[in-house]
Amino acid sequence: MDDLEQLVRDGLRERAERVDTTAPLVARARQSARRRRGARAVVAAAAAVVIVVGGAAILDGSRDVSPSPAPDVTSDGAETPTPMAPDGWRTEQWHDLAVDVPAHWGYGSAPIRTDRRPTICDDRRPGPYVGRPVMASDMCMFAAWIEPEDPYVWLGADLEPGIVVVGDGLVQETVEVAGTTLTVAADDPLRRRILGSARRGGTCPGELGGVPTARLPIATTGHGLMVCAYRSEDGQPRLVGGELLDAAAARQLIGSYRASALMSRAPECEDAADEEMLLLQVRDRQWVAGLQCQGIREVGEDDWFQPFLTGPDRWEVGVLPHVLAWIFGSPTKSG
Amino acid sequence: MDGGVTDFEAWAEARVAGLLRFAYLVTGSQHAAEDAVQAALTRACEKWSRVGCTHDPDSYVRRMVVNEHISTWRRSGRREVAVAEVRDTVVVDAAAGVADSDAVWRMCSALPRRQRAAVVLRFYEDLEYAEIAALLDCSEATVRSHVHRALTSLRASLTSQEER
Repeated sequence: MDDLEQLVRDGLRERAERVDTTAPLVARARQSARRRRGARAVVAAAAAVVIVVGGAAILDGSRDVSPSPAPDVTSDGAETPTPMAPDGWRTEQWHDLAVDVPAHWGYGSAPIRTDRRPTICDDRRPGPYVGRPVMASDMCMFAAWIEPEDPYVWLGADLEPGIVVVGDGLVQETVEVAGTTLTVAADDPLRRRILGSARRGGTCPGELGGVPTARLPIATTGHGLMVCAYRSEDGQPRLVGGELLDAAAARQLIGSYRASALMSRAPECEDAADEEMLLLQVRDRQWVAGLQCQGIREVGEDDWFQPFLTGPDRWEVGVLPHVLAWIFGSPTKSG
Repeated sequence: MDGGVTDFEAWAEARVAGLLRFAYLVTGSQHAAEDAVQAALTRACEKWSRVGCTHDPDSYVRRMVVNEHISTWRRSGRREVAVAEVRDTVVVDAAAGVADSDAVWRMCSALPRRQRAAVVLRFYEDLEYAEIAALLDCSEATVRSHVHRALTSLRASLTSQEER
């Protein structure tokens, strides 16, 4: 150990000794845990009523009955089949918002608010893109300094509704829709078309309301692997994007799941505040995966398994590498 | 199962001071440290029947403290850099050790959150690089890089201090 390391050790230890450790945190934690248990008991009682109703339908012999919805999923969400995006377009999702954009557009960031000013943190390539307020890079600049040349859509940007002219005559319009903001900067017909496609509810549930223990309503996705990506906000997993991967990815997931080992650190995966979670669907099976705890559980089962997958590289498809730090923050990406 | 950690309260009371010190170094603020520790202990309490059975509940809760801090930052959508306690007057005649200690703290305060957590886990908790990597959910190489950059920054800061 060199002198510098010893200096750091001594410096940290000296600072730590100054900390006030008298706050009654253990008692507060116990009280807080009791309150949360009480709140969950109320939710569980409500859920039991739902299960009884659902169970009666199954006894009726109607096998196509919708699975029990999670308590917190919005009722007008994914239960309704999602309208397909027209040819040459794709559907993007953020929380409860779904909107269609031209299929060839890339991905990037949307402004976050820092020091009371909207800032974009991204090193995106030029070209039209769909941005989300996810800090995918340490390269940040104030949004007001950006003079865009290409059209873009921002989902959930921290902006007030309104219209401004940006860059070279591009009109940027922000509206509130489905509990979030949608910002479109494009020529008039394109902007109107994109704004007109905005709707509540896409293929993936807008939030999970905890780690799912019962199947959630996701539209049928055939032999492919539907990946719904969530990030924790105030302890709740909120949707940041969805991507339908091909049948090979679905087979790979199922193979990996079969080969994985029972987890010894399961409590961490039970935590809905896991920064990033995935809800996965292949035909009639669903899984939930915690990317921080690196565990996966089939919805409806009790046990968690790991490793989740051999590596994130095979998940670098569509929106996923732009919203999941598990991928964009991985050693393979950061070099 | 380790029978010595079956009772949450006894376990938590024995560790809360250490956790608070650790959390303070990671967060840089008494208030944030208390919040992070309370949130981590609340979750540990809720799941104690399982957490208490793990071979290292301390590690679980430490991880929760770090995650709570990083998650709070991400949830808020802010990318602030914590600033060391501001002092209007530099005490020029203080012992060199005090100045060095302040330099260490200023260096830590200016680090990004994961990097700072890596430094605290390495030099305060004395964890191995592999243990830190597991706790921060990143590669060992990334942890080494975090620590190396922090030490480089501190060296530069001390050199500049000496030149003044």
